[in-house]
Amino acid sequence: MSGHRTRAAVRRTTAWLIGAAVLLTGSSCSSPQKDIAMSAGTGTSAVQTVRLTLTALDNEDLTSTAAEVTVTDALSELSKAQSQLGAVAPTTPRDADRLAQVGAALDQAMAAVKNAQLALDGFSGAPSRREASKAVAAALHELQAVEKKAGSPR
Amino acid sequence: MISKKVFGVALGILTAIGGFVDIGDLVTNAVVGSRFGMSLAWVVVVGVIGICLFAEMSGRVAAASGRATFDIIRERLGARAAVVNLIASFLLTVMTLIAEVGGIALALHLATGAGPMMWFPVAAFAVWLVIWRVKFSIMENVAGLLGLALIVFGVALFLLGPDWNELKSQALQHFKNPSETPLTYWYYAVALFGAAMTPYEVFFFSSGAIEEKWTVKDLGQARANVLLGFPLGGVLSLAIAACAATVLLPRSIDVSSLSQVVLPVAVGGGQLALAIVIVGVFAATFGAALETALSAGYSLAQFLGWSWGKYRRPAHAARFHLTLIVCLVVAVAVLATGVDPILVTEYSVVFSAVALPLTYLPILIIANDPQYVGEHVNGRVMNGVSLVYLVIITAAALAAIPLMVLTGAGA
Repeated sequence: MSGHRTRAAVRRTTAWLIGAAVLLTGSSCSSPQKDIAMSAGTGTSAVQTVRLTLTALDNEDLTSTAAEVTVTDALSELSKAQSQLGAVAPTTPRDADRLAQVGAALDQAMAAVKNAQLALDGFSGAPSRREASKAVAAALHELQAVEKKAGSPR
Repeated sequence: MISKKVFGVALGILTAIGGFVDIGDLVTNAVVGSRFGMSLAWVVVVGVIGICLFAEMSGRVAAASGRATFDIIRERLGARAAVVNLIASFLLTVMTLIAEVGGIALALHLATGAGPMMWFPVAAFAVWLVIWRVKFSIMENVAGLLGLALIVFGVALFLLGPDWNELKSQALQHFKNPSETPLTYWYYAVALFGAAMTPYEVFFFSSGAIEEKWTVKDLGQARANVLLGFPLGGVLSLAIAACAATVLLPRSIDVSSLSQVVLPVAVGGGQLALAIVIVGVFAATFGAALETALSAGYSLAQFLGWSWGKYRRPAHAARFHLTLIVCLVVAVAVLATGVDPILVTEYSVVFSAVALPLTYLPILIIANDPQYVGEHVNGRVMNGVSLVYLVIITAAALAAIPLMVLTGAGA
């Protein structure tokens, strides 16, 4: 009898927990607008990091090793932002337009940060740090503009 | 004799300051500073008071009873209640160990440029070697003292010349970042609370008391370590958040890597400060990896009644040492899958908040039981404050998972 009651209580608790989890997961479902804004925000954060890193390097505040690690980490963040954006399925033409704008800005940012990475590596034929900084600043400007249009991510 | 005692107390306090910050504190404070400024500084204060209470009680229980925490928990609460406590604490400690080993590797990656993947096994092997070969007191003191290098966050903050009034107003008023929601604010409040009150610190502290053969005569020194060392460690946490609030927040940089955590220090203090902060991060994560690995061994061995402790020869505590080795192997195996150590850290501090009541409540019960602590039971004031904290801890534990789901883990 007591075993039966315990099993029933366990079943009730499990059902309640599953229900609560479904409810919570449902309520946290992301929207295309939110995901687009989030990708733009992640991209801006990564490019700002690279810009700060290049400035710190120019001021001799940062070692080249630490700068390379920081830029590589930022590249990985940008890549995440692109993957996140790639998973968004726009439901309205307006979303599709924003998605395309943020996608283009992220591509530009990716190219600029890869350029910066090459500049830090210093191989022959690599762009100068000054050129790389300019490209990063331009990419940041573009990302900030589309992020503003995309709205708040959270 | 007096100067030796003073030296011992000073060393204990310095070690407690340096040992307070681990990868959870480093990452969470930097994340919070970069997103919410100093508006969650109050959580650090609440968390530090909580860990002081928690550590003081468990140290007192160990010194007065001469027995380790899990040994008493199993006897006092029965095997069934204790096993729930053990599973939660053990899993959380292993998760924290994974994050700490990852943190050591990231610090070495930042210093050398060599990928973190190659540093995971090196870090785990070094942790094992130190546990195997180095005396407990030397191990604890060296890691804690080197961890003091993190004071450079405070120095960098002054060199950055922040707007102190702005930082103060962020800390005292409810700071509103337009791109954040109240849910993410409270999610990070819980994460920061979990980072300040990690249960492994308490197991390590109380088991360390047995390792170092504390008696009630040592309670004064233990209290000084906790009541001075931990709050000063909390000041370090605030300095980390303030550096991020000064440099990263205005630029909309969200912290997602260790390189971003130390970037404000380089901006403020240059290459020398960067070198010092990398040493500090290495020492803090290495020290915490030693503590978490030992805590995993302590909790399992104490619960199962195995012979345990570094004060015994490894051959006389074989299962304890085997547990440490298995935990370190598991840590390397998990990190080798490519999981981001920073992400593991972020989850570990939240789960730390979830598991807190399971570890806090038994200590509170035992600290009130004269059968174990004799005349050193909690006083009225201590019990009053402890009960308030029990409510806070329970609320944080209940809110943690729903907040995690609702905010997409603070995304």
